[in-house]
Parts: sequence; C-alpha cells; structure tokens
Amino acid sequence: MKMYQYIIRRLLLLIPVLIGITILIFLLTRIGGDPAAAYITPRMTHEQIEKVKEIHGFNQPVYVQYLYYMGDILRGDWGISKAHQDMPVLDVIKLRLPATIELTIVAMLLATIVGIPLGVISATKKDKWPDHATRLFALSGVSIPIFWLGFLMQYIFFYLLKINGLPHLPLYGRATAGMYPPQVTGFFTLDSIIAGNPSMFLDTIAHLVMPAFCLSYVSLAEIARMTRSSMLEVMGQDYIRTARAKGLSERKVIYKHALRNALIPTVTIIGLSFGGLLAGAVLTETIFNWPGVGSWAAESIVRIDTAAIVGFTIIVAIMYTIVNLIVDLTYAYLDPRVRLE
Amino acid sequence: MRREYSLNKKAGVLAIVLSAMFIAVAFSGCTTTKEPTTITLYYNSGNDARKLGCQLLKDNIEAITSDIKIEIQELAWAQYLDKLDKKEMPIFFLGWAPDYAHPDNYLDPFGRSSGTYANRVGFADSEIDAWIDEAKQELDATKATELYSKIEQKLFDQGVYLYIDQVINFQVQRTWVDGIFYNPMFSELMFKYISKNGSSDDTTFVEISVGGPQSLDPAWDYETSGGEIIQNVYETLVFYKEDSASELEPMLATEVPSIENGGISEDGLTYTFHLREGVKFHDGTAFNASAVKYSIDRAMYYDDPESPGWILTQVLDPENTSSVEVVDEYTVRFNLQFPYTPFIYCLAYTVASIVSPTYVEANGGVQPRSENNWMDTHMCGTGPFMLDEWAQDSTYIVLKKNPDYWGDEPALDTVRVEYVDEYNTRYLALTSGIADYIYAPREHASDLMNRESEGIKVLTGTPTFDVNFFGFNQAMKPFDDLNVRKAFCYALDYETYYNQIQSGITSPMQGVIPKGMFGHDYDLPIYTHDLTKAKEYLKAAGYTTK
Repeated sequence: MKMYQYIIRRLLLLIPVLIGITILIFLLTRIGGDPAAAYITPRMTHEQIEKVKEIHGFNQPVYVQYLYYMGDILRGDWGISKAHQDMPVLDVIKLRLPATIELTIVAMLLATIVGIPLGVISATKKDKWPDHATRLFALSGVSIPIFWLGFLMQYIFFYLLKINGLPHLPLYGRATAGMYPPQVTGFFTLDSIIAGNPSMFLDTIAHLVMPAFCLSYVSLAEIARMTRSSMLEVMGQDYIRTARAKGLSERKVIYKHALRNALIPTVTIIGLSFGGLLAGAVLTETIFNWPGVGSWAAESIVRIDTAAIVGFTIIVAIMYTIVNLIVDLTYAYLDPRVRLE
Repeated sequence: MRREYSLNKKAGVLAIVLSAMFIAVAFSGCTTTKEPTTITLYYNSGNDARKLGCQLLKDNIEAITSDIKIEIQELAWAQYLDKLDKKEMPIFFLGWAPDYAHPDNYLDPFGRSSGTYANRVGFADSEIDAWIDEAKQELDATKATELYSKIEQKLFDQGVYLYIDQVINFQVQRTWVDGIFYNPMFSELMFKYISKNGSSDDTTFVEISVGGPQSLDPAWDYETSGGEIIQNVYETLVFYKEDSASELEPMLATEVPSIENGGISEDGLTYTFHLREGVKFHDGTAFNASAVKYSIDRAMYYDDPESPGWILTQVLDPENTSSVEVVDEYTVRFNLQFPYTPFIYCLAYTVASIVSPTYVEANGGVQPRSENNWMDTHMCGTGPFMLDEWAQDSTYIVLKKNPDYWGDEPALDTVRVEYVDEYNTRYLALTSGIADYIYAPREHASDLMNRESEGIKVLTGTPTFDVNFFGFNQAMKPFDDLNVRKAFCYALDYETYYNQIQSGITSPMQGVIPKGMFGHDYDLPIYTHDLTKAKEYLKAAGYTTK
C-alpha cells in the first residue's frame, strides 16, 4: 500500500471515532446534570429559568438535542462557551489552541532532545556516575508532582533571582503585557519572527522556559529511562559485537547501529506521553497562567459548559489520532521491516 | 477534645473522629426505638469554608441527638442552583451580596413570598409581604426603618434562615500604594483615588485578580470583575461617596435629587437630575440629557434574564418612551411606574452607566434582545480612565488616564488588571513587587498579616455586605417544624466558625440587612451557640436528646 493511501485510510477512521466520542461525551454531560444549570443565576425566577431552557432547547428529548447539536457541528456552529465570555466555541479554540500546541510542542522537543541523549549516556556509562545522576534525575521526574515542580521553579528562577536583583525568568503568562506580537498564526514564537521583532521573540522564549520544562519533565524522565533500558538491550546483541569487531568507531556503533534500533520503544513512549502532556497542560497552564485550552477545559467542566467540553474533547481526539498516525509513520521510517497495512 | 476546623486539617484524623462519631451514633440508635431522621445538607463544591461550615453544623447537631443523622452533599455551582430552583434541598448553604445599597435589596429576596430565597425555602407570610411593599414606597426614613425592624424581628422569630456571618473585608496591597479604601458597594477598586509613592514605577498600578470580565458592556455585564473596569471607565449620574455605602455623591449629575431640593416629587414618582455641563465622552461626543436617555433605554432594551436590566425595569416601564424624559439639554427626568425609594441607589449600579450614543450607533447600535458584541469588548464613557487594551487572550486589561477628564486628574497614568487564577502565583507577584494589589482568599490571612516591614499591607476591619446563611426548606421535613429550625439555629458553634473557618475575619450576621447599611437594627437578637436551648427545641419537636 502506498503511503498516502495509508494516511487517507487512517484519517477516514477518524469519523467513526469522532461520532462515538461525541455521543459518549454528550450523554455524560447530560447525565452529569441539567445543562440549563450553566445558564441559571440565583436571582432568576422560576419563569425566567423555564424561558432560559426554552431558548436553549433543553426541554427537548436528549437524542433530538444530540441530532440538533451534530447538525450544528457540521455546519461549523459549535455553540457558545459560557466559561469564555459567551464566545463561539470554535473561536475560543482558534484563540487558545495555538497556546497549548506551542507549549506542548516545545515541551515534547525538550523531552526528546534532552531525554534521548540522557538515556544514551546513561546506557553507555552504565553504573558510572553519569548513569547514577541521570537515573536520579529521571526518577525525580516521574515522582515529582507537576504543580510542586512549577511552584519550586517559580520560587527559584523568578522570586529568588528577582529579589536579589539578578536576571530572572518571567513568573507567568505567554508574553509581557503589551509585548504581544501581532496575531498571524497564534504561535507567539512564529508571530514574533514574522513581525521581525527580536525582543518580542526573546520575551516569548523567556516565558516558555519554565512552563515547557515543567510540562516536559515527566515525559523527559520516561524517555530517558526507556532509551536507557532499550539501549542496554540492543548493546548486548550480536550485530553490535559484529560492528565493533569490524573496527567501527564506538561513536558510529552507538549512534548508527544501536540507537536506531533502540528508538522503537522510545517513539512509542513519545506518542503515549503526548496524552500525558495534554493532561499536564491543565495543571501547568493554571500555575503559569498560560491561556491555552487546558485551563479553559478545566473551567468549563466546573461550569458545566457542555458546548465547550464537547468541543475540547473533539479537538483532543483529533490531535491524539494525528499524533498516533505520526508515530506509526515513524516506525516505518525507523524499521524497514514494519509495513504500513 | 476540641475539634480543629482550620482549613489545613488532617483528613485522616477527621475520618477517624467521624467514624468514631458514626459508631457512637449507631450504638445509641440501638437503645431508642425511633429510626433516625436523615437530612442531606448541601453546599457548592470548591468552597472550603462552606464545606467546613456544613461539617461543623453536622457535628453540633449529631452531638446532641441520635435521632437526626446529617449527610453532607457537595454539588457543582450550576447543579446547586438548579437544585435550589427545584426546591429539592432540605437545607443548604448560601450567600448574598447586594446590587444596590438598600434594605429592600435584602428584604425582598429573603422575606417576600415571591423573593429569590423566601420562595425557595417555601416561606410565605402575607403580613411580611405587605410590610415589605409598604417599605418600598415609604419616603419617610424613620417610618421605613420601623418597618424594617418589624420584618427582621418576624423573620428571626420564624427561624426562616440560620444566619451565619457577615464577612469583613480582606484586601492585600504593597505599602507604597495610597488611596485604597473599602466601600462594600464598589466592585473592588476605584483607581482615581489611588496613587503610588516609592516603587520602581509610580505611574503604573498593577492589580492581580482572578476570573476576568464576562463583558465590558454596562448594559450587559452582571458580575464584579467586569464591574470593576466599568465603574472606572463609565460613570453614573450618582455614585457612592468614597467609603460610604449610604451617602451618594453627584457624578454626572450636579446634585443628588431629594424631596428637600425638589429633585424627587412628593409622590415619589418622578426624579429630576440636573446634569454636569462641558463633559465629553472618550470619543469627543458631548454628554447631555439625550445621552442619559439613550443609555438607560438601551440597558432596558435587553429583555434577558441574565442581564442586570431588571434593576431598572422593576420600576421603569421599558415600553413607555417617556420613562426617561429629556426636559432640556442638561435636565433629565425619570418617571416611575410606582414609588420606589431605593430607585436612586439603582441608578448607582453599573447598569445605569452613561455610554456615548454616537459611539454605540457607529458600532452596531441597539438591537432589542440581542447583545452588541462590539460593546462587550470596547468602551466609550466619561470616566477618569479609558480602555487601552483587553488582551486577545483575556489575561489582562490596560486602562489609560483620560486626559480630558472633567474631575480631579488621577495620579496614575496606567492601570493594568491581570487575571491569574492560581493564588501562589499571585502571592509571588505581590511579594516580589511586580503586583501592587492582589486578590487573596481570607484563609491566607495568617501568611499576610503583620508584614508591613516587608512592604505588604493588609486592609481589613470593615464589614462587607456579603452575608452567609443556611436556608431551611419549610416544604420538606423536618424543617416544616419551627422547633427544629430553632434547634439548628442554637446548635451551631458560631465562634468556631468565625475564628477557625473564617480566620476571624468575619462578624455575626444580625438579621438580613447588613451592618453598615442604613436600616440595620443593632438591637435585633442574634442566635448564639446554646446547647441547652437547642435541646429544649429538639425535645419540643419530639426528638430525644443526649
């Protein structure tokens, strides 16, 4: 099968997945309580409340509400988000999703770029101090709660440095107030490059450091641990001995022969950790006041903002499916024996 | 053993104490023939003070009788309000804050049979209804006050609510800030009074708050986050004078109308305002009587239960074009449908802000029953500050000084209000000095008090108009029995609630009209923690006591 056929087939599979997810989430939000509750204030009279239900169609049977809802979704009307100034859900997603994607991508890059070499070093220096240090680092990564790490980083890299008059990282936010780049893509790093403004770019990067590291720490640790054990396994294989026997440099043995084979389980972990990153984004975004979809989703759940919850879930499902597809394609690249079927 | 109700209590200890109590209750249950009555006590999730308050009441009641067993149930805010409306909760924890500083804004919801709360607790008393209606129209303050006292006394005697507390203000600022004072009717801060001296930038004021405005349109917004921005950019005809919640001062009017100065007619039906001349909106439009009519009519046009328009339409007929009447260029008259003494205070609420008619007309105009999305995010008023930027991601709002302001020039050039939901982040912003003022929940009081040497100052000691109470649903057993309601009122350990749960930053709630508001009766009795009386009432209701 050709690559593009495979991709199209995988993307078509998204449709039943999304139908299933919308039905499930729609029912769950209805079981969770009366959706009209989101529109009620204590001051309203009973008649006013009935009127609110009528306006929003909450007195129709659930399946009718679902069909109406799906019809609206397909027409591009995803409803209004109560938790976000009554803004249309699609607009909120357009506004806030780039912030989350930017943060997640930087966190994933950080986890991969730092995690894999750490795993390799740890494996090649097995039972020496770099190995111990890396293992301790990785162990702390999987054990430290994200919010605690966030506060600790804020305290050290903002507060302690600031009160001692030293250069420090920003405490929260995506950019300094008034330093927002003109919106083109919604990714502040790209937008500041497009605007050709280096100080804006540096400001954005400075704001990314703490939240991105905080978010990536768990994945970074998992990637390092997985790379290490996988490398150790591969290093004991016959073909590595052969490579060494034919006189290849140790560097070539490790990076060309061992690492490529050891990466398969690591790639799986990277794909899986994407879900963890989205979950972690809810906490990280709250601590660092990062205006992404994670903090919006948390607020929507508290406020029974049905339209927002369903909208968020659809977006996450799409992102997850796409990331899984990328992971599968990467397998085929790394290991020619894997065939796309 | 004295139970701890502080917020950082150990859950494990609590569980052990609770299970011990449960076993005790179960055992004592064996000796009596009567099945224990189970009551579910509701509060809205996320509110720890309310959760602990419920726990305290449960412990207090279960300590004196084995016949009543209390279950505590938390519900998300939206679900909670829904259940409240359906009258399905036997007893629930709630609070109230006023829209305008008048006893009627408490007595009507709490006492009148159709009122928000009275209706939902199944309380109806035709005598109280008549008194409230009479008080609404009573122009003589002394007579009105007598009526308020009679209503309060009867509500107390009937044990309609378990009055818990009236919260004291708690605000945190840097010591280099001057001019922050508390007025219970302000939506947080009035920036025109504020100045800074000795910080790294004395012309920019940074407040870090939570949430964020729902809308910046005074005709639409109905919450304090937006209210704070609106009250600094827009102005009303009259407004609360500095820290007084009873005395009004003229803003866009030249004097506060009264019967004495002829501004209010003898029958209480017409209110005439003389307007300030030479005032300009931020877009240069001249302020005059037609702008007032335009703004009030516009606010009344929104026939939406979610908007604050009802504050005006409860007395002004939106269908009648002469409800707001332009007498001449600088005189405007309001014609009420019936006399309503609180009306002047209604005009101090943000819904009665005056907007620039040319600006609104140029940006969508007025569409009945439909929100003007432009005005949700853009502002054009007469106030001391102008909207400079509302960040595209809603994380902050920047206000700039209005150079053409008619009144005293504000000391600040720029005000930035940021919205950060995490307290620890706000706390670091305050202590590091990047914030001048933050919102801090009162459970953090002990961390913030007595730190003036470090530049952190707490403002506290003034009662807010926020009251907390339990509502007894009289339509459900056992609260149809006055004796049970009274027993609950005497059983609650108020001191523990005040000192441990509210960190001592609160005061007893004495009737529904709060202290600090005119009409409050300082002689009204207060329920106290009195177990002897609580047991007597329980016995009278047919329960055995320990």
